[in-house]
Amino acid sequence: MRGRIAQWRESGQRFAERRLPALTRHRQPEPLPILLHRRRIYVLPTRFGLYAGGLLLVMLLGALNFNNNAALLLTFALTGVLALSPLRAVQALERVVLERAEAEPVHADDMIELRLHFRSEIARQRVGLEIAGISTPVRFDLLTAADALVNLPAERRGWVPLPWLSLSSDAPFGMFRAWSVLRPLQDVLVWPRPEPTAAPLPDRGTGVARHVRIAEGEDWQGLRDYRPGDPPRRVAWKASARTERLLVREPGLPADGSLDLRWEDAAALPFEQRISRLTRWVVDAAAAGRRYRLQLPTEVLGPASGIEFRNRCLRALALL
Amino acid sequence: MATGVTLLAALALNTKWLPIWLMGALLPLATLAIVARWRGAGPLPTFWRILLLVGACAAIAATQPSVFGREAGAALLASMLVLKYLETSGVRDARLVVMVSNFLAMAAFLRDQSFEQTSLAFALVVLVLVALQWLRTDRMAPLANAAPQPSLREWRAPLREALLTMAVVIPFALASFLLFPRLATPLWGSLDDKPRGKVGIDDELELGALSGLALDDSPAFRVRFDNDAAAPPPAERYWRGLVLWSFDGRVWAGSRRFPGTRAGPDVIAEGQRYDYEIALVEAPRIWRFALDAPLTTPAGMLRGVDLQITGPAGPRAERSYRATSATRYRLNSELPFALRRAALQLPSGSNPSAVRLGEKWRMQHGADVDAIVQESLEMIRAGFLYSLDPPPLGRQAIDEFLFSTRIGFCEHFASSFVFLMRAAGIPARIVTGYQGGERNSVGKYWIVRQSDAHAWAEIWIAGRGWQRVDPTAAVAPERVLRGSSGFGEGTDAGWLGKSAWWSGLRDRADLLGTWWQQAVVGFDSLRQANLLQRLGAGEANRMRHALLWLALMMATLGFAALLMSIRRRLPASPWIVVYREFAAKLAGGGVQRKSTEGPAEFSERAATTLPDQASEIRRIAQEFIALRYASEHTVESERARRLEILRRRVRALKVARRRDAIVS
Repeated sequence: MRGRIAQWRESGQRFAERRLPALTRHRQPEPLPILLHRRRIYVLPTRFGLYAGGLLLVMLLGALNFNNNAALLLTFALTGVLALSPLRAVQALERVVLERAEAEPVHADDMIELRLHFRSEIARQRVGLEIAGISTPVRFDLLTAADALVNLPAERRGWVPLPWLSLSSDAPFGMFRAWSVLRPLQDVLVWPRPEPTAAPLPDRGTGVARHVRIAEGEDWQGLRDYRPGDPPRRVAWKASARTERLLVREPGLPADGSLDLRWEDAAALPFEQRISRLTRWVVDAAAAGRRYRLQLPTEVLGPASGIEFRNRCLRALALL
Repeated sequence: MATGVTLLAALALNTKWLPIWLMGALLPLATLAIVARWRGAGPLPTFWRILLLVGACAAIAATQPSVFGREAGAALLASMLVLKYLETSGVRDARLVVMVSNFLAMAAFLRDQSFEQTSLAFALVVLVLVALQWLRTDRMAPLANAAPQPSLREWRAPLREALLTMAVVIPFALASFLLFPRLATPLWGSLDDKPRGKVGIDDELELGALSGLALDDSPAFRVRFDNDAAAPPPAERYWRGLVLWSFDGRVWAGSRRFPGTRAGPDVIAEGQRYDYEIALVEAPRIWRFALDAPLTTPAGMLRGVDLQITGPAGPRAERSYRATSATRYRLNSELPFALRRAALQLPSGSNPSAVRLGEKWRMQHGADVDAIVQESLEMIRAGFLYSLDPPPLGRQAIDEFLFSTRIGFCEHFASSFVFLMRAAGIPARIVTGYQGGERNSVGKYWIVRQSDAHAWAEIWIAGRGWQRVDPTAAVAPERVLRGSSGFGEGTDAGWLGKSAWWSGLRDRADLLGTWWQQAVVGFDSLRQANLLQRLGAGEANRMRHALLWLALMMATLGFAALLMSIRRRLPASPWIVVYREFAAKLAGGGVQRKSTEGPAEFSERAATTLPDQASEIRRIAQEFIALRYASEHTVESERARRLEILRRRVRALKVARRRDAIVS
């Protein structure tokens, strides 16, 4: 018997997957743009719709009892309004396209400001749509195109997938609510959280020895392996001769007060806190307008300055 | 605001029935509340609400005869709704107030189901739909990114939506109206059966009662003769209603001693017979009206020995019936003792002067009935005046009328005449009903109005039976010949009544009202069964019937939804337009875009096919891809600027047309 039930359930599921894709498939994230088709829009009466239905039932009974035909007409007209409501609610959502979802990267524990760009494929009345599935529902108007701003908490660093959102509308009379589940296959970059208490920047003379000493009296900024395309005049011939590798001087480093932010400098801390500290240093250094270089176990960035470079460093830290 | 206006409109629908003091209290209260809300006031404090609630309940209980009556119910509902409005704080309350306003419109239908009233109620529904939409935006305002404040300027779109909805819903309502299974018998009794307020003829006649009706222009019933061309002449248009036998010196009343039978008395027609259908406007009371004298008993009714027709009463009773009459007839050649006694009854000691006058005539003329009638009619013709506004009379009403005031309305003349006849020993009785009627030339039927209410006399003459005598005709023959509208200023006053287009308009309005009354208001389970049978739905089977209704409803709504979903497609996004233009140019050069190809592949293929433009094609493709897919941090204005550059670049792209287009 139990086996029979399991069999039925299984065949039911297969049927649902085959015939009702809206019930099964749309739980999975899907790539943008997402077009809302009527097969993926659900509709249920609101509380007010239920009240209205109850009132109409009372009116119907009264009108039938007294065979009051004018009252019957009125009741049926209102019933028609109620019956039309779910269709209208679905139409409010139908052929709405979620075109893009954009967000500036933020640090973990901040709010991600997600900008959802909706577009309508068809001419429509100005209807209010709501986005739920997040802490505070957001309402916006859609005529041809509209941006909705949604705030999401950034809980951890790295690529964070967008959460489950529900787009809904109770147009036109608030008696029925239609909704559709949106789960865009798109990740938002979240930078690591900067350490709350600022550790002093590992400036010259305060940290460990920063410079690679190649030879006495020569204080090189730093050497790295030759890469095709490096200009020949930058090759450190002497050092190369000593190491039997072709080494290249890094351009524009030290002597002008630039920083070296190294993974090893925060060696005393656990992994995540190390990232936090480096993040802090990057943020502070960028805020001070300094040039800096970021050395991570995986890569070395810079030295450089400016917003673009800072973003590149934070991204590398986020994805560590 | 929208809520308040809806509420006011719903109250206004009930103006005619709600007690005046209540309307006088509720309308200003609601108006004040609307103004207060408009200026940002909150709900009324609890103390005041409770005070008002108790006050309203007490006042209604004190003034209404029954707390469970229709009036009391409507009054209570209206007060509660206004009080609820005073305390509404959120959208939820406001929506309920708006929705229950419909219920108030329905309460009004219990009193009046006319076409006008129904139209007004449907207008209210439109208002309700607009208000509900406003309430939605109200709710959205605080949180929306771009707050759409509901303002008076924003009524267009909601109104459009409301009207569109009504356009879909009205056919639905009509179809439901025809097909929805109905109750053959009510589930519970009617709240109160006796219609109050506006009444036509009553079963008692007091001097001065009918003159009150003389100014009431509303229709009492409509008559359609089977042969419209041969309607009875004006002087024969007497619509018989009640027969009043007993007089207590002040009031004439019917007699319960002569109950009707299904067969009724034999009436011998002496002249043309008329077949016709009468449709009453108000729910009938037990008596019916028929052209004097009805030869047969209408189906389902009884006819008394005095030709009074009685039938079922109440709001569910059938309002129209068929009858056959002859205006020249002979009735009761023999007069049984009981009838003779009733027809000669006089209250002792009342109106002594009139009794003496009657006795004097009997002495003078003996059994010569015609002479006595002549004498009395001569007297009336010589010294009496007909007036819609006769002076009031005291206890010896007949004496005062006959010997001092001498100004009266039809019931004064009729009752005095009958009184005199009885005093002179001639059996006599009063008949009340209507006299006259106005032809609706558009609809080819006759309207008899309340202002046509009339009272006349019948006397019994040996060998000839009962004969109608209308003493009013003696004093004011135009009243009988031209009907009530030919007399006095009570009806259509001045030039309006005479202009042709006005009467044509009035005829049409009445035709519409009549059609409404018969086709819509009169529709019931019996007629529905007939209709379904004619439609081929077979015997009235409730289940089948309900299924038919359901199917039709689905079809109607589905069709409506289909119509509504046909909407204009919006033009594609601007970047798509640019891309299509680009693709079209390359196609001209012989490179057709495949549907499976993305921009990168397509442009690469184009670049290899068209080496002259390769670099430009690649640049455009790169820029396009950058704009379309890789612009996470671009603001909208920047995006637009780049799109414009791209568009120019595509325009500038020159691709040589190739004849041997490579079609893959």
